[in-house]
Amino acid sequence: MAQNGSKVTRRQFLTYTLTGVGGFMAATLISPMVNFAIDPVLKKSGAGDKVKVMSLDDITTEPQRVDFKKQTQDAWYEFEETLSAWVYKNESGEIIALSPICTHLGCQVSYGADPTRPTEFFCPCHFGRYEKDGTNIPGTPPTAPLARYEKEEKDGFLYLGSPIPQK
Amino acid sequence: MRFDSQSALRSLAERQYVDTLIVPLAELAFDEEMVRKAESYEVIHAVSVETERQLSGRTMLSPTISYTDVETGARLAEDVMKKANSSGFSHVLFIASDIRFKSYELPILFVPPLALGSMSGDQAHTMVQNFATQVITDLSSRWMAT
Repeated sequence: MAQNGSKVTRRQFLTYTLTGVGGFMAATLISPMVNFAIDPVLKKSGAGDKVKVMSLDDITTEPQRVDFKKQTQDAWYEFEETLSAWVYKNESGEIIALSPICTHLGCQVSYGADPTRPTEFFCPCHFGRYEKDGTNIPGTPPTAPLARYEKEEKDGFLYLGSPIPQK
Repeated sequence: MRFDSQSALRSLAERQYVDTLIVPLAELAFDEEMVRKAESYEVIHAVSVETERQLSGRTMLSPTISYTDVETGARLAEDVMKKANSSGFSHVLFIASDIRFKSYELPILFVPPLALGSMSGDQAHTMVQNFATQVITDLSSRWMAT
């Protein structure tokens, strides 16, 4: 059926062309969809934005409170949120940054606030207690340990991200 | 807790835990006195918000009571206190900078009317922290006593 030495038949030519054009059209439709589908993965997460809070040299084995501000977005409303963290180095030299938000109802706990228990976190609202590493003490109102901040050590400074709830 | 619908729901659900109302008391003026009144309000507002931030599980921050003369202010404050007490808030604390309230029997914590605006950010932050700590200490001792 091939004419004049041509190796492509009319049928083949049409098949190729239509597959090609069809494929192209399908691609135009599908590629944005794929994009939408994997968008949450591609999106730079807000949690990745870490804030510089203190010099690594200032961190001791005694928890210290640091306050820092972070840009937060709540729907269309963007505002600066004041956050606090209790930062210390544990026995193995690891830096721990605990969120002071009590897991009971959200008051702020302080380290050593109860003078009779100087190595515990104490919540003034309903007298919740936590160990130095943030573990909640049974028999007090909180039911979960204090959250820990995502952290990064860079150029001699500590950067903190979002608090991660612990179990 | 703030005075918004979500916190209101939550505080009703946790009634036995949220038992303290913080009420800012601010004087209004719109003549040359306005700058001074605004300065006072800035401190009152900042301290109240910071206190609520640190004690949000037990306290609710009420919207500010504003007044143009002390007597009316005191009367409004008494009304709010009565209403709050009868609705389950066992503690009510007013935050004000107007010392003329001293002649009334209201549970007020006074903050000095400082010009926060003329301070550096850090200085202002430290100031507000200090006053908030005073309020928190005051509240803690009330809570311990009950």
